[in-house]
Amino acid sequence: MTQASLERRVLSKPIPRREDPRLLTGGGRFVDDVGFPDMMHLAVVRSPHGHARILGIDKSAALKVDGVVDVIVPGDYPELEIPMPDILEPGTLKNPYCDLHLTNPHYVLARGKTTFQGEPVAMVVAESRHAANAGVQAVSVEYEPLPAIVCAESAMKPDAERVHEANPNAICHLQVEHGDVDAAFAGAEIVLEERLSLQRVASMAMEGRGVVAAWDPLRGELTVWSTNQVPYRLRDAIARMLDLPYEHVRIISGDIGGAFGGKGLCPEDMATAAVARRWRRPVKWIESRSENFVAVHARDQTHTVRVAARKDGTLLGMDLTLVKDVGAYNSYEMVQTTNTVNHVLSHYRVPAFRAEGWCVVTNKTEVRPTRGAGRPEAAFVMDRMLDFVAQATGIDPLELRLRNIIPAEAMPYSNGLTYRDGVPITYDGGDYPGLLKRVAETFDYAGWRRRQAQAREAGRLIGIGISSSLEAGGVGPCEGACITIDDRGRVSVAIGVNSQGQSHETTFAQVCAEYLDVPLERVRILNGDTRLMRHGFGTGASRVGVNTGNAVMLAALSLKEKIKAFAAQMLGVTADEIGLQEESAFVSAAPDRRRSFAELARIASAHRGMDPLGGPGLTATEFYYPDTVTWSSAVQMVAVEVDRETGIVGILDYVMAHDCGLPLNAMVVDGQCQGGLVQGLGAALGEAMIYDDNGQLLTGSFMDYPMLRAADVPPLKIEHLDRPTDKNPLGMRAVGEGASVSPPAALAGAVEDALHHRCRIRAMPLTPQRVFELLKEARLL
Amino acid sequence: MSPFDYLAPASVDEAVSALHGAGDEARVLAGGMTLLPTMKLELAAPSLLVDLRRIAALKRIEFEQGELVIGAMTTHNEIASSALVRQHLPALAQVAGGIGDVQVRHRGTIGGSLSNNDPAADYPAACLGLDARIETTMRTLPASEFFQGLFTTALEAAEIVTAIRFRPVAKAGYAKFASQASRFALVGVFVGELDEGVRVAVTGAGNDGVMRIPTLERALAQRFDPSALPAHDIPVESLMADLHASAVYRSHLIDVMARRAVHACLGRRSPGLMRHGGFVRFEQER
Repeated sequence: MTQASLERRVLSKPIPRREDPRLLTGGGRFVDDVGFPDMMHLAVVRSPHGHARILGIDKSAALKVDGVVDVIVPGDYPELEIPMPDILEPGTLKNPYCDLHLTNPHYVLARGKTTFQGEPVAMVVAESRHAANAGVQAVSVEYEPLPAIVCAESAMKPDAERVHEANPNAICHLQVEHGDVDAAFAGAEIVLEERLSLQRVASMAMEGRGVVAAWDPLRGELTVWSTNQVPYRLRDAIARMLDLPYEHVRIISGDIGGAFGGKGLCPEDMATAAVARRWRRPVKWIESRSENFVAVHARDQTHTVRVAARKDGTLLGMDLTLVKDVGAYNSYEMVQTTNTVNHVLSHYRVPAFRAEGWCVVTNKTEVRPTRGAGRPEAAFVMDRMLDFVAQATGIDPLELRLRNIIPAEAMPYSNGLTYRDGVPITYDGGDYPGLLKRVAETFDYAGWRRRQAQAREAGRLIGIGISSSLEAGGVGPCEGACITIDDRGRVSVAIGVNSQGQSHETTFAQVCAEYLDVPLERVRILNGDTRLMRHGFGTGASRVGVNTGNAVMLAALSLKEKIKAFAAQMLGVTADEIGLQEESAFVSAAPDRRRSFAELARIASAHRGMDPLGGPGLTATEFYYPDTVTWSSAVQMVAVEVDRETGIVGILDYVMAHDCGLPLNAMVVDGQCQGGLVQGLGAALGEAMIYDDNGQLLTGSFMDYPMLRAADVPPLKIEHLDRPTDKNPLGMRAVGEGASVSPPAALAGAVEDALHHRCRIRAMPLTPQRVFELLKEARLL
Repeated sequence: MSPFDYLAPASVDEAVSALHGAGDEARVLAGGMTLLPTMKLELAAPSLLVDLRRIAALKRIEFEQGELVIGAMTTHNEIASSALVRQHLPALAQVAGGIGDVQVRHRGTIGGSLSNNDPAADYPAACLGLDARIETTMRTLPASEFFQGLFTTALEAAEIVTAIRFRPVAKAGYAKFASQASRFALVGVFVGELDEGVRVAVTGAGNDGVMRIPTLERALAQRFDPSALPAHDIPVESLMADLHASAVYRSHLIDVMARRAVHACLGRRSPGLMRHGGFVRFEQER
């Protein structure tokens, strides 16, 4: 931790999470905890086919099921006849690379044909959840199965069958070139070409998606309780669908059990809102885990990459082509592919770089961002290629990285690329060699190389993996905070973002307490309700800490100025004669002349003196607009032992060092790192959404989709460098995604190293069966 | 979950007559670790559940006439932590302690597991490997006759498992390679050295459920040591194949787990790792 942060009173301190008492004692209030006496339940008829024509839907039997109120098929509700909006991402998208972006309209209910297993085909509204499910069973849908399109690369061919007739399957394209790539390859002593892919996974939040909608017919207002991580976008989408003023739709999103990117706008949100208004009764839809498995997927990207280098290991150029299988719909333009392109050069100098990418639709569940959003793919490409160059040159992989790393003196460093907000990329500080050396020291790299050699003599397979990552985070456009002091000195901070576990109630209270100079106990955070702030841009893309954190700081400083101005009136001096301390304003030259914040708040509520100060009460609202993103950096090293009898991979040591600038709460930062590691390790060691040739998901439950358990997670040693950035007032960078980025790359490197580099790991995950196959390939079985 | 009637009789006789009266749609609830999730997914919709949990006679662990007798409604946790089981058949306590997770071990019962005969469950291997006898409301059957294929047993309608009888053995050991996702056995091998000979019983792998491997039994009968086991001896045609393990991998894992089970029989720590991804302390010698 930096000196600057050590001097802080509450900010950065590892204060226990204020959310925990209620969440750990079963007192959380989740969407499924919301209920009304006359509430109806929605359930969804989903396509069992990956690709099929819908010849007819017979709802007559379902309508006779006891308790069924309505069965909805396409055409029944005019408001559901407009396509859902693309979600894109917070802020204005100015993707500098994307030169093709075709959109296939995505309707709440499949129209004419179904394009993935699990797509909503009809919906049932009933008096109970059981009756709704029974109604679903009774809906008869006649399908004509069509050949499923499950391979993105075949789907790109001009004569390929189309997922959506109106557009070719390759719906988005990007390209970028920096430096003279062809010359770099022409002059290279070493050229390596590989095909590398990261598999399809899912976010797997502990809580699935859910929505309750209640219509107030006399006021014409709709209240929606939702797990959505972008509530204002949900509000706007529902308001447009129902042709209501935005203020007449209120989204309440209280406790949410994780999101990770998987809880954006969904068809069920729209349908539930429409049903609530049509029937003038509250309606609930709660996703089952089985539905969750086919709702939203992530990653699934294949890369063809060429690297040019000199014999001394110096990188000269990279040429990358990537193909992303986005599933049946694409709501996020090229956000994730662009992230891969913009993060792939990582901590290294690469003078010449070319990238081309495609998003391709297939008959699978839609792919949306999940923690990392294109960055794990980038780390996998760069670190795998660095490991291959190390093999080709005989240079130790750590030494090879040090030879190519951007020196600390080169900061701020421009890599020649442009971020997806349209701003040229500049790494805002950081000490990449320092991070790498720090990890190598804590990890005891030399010691592990020694132990590896000894164990190898005894026939044991020990390997070491290294991966570096960047996390551009804190994308705008902005977030706001409204701080109010009441007549008893209590402080509330309203923010426009909700939490799915990010600890907003703790961290932003720390920011406010620090900069308003009040005790932490005075401060409480109000969030999860679109009525609190006029706008918010969602919790995702590691953006809230930077945006809202700085907004809270600015609002606290602004409120202090207001307090000074008003206290000056009360005490008959000028504002610059006022000092603030211990929740009081006082005359600096005569400290006995003072007014407490509580007293000032009481007077300010009805005093004319507040007229020039923005109206009644001690309250201040500020919005923070970042110029562009900040760049966090991290390095991970892992030592593994591979059991040559079974293919099991055990973790001997795992170290990470990172720099996220100022931590808002050191313990929360640790939690983000550990959670990210778990997610990354899960993808490295087992998680995979696997389809058969008919577009049937083979891993549709936890019986087949392996999630790590607590006992599968090794202790993570975390080193914090925490060098504040000068890019925002708080000096902080993003921390939500960084730790999840490197595990696949690091584990691939480590297992391949353990197997004497007699095989090449080009795809993930490394399940025991896969490692067994690799052991055979390496002739080590 | 569909609506259903629920009975919790206090005696085995009442349970049997309730089942007789209800016909095909009635199911016995003996812990419910498989049945209840199946009902929640609406894959099963029994009209009546006859819950055995109140029948005290089915919940016992006793050593009588040289046999360990375990009531059908004894939970995995009770077996894993029983002093009697640990004394007379520590391998069985080990099997029970490795089933599912803590919650499952406190709810699931041995009788429920045997009656379900999941091809990847642990108890069938232990019962076959120990030549256990399964007592029901109608008869007593050796394990070899009780298990009749995937999810299939010799149980007839309204017949309930009441107890399992084990004779202590000279040596016994179990080694399980758990599925990374479900934590059921991809391959579990139970080795028992009985008076009549050695038994090697395998769960999770056979395409007809739990099975014995005579070639491994003969090899161990000659010399009871891991090194006596022949390698690559299991015909892959008899093995299951799925996403998590091909038949070839399962065959290989039977070799490895059989060796590890013999190590366990001999009271040795078996070499190798058992948990994918978990932390392993580095030791110079393993």
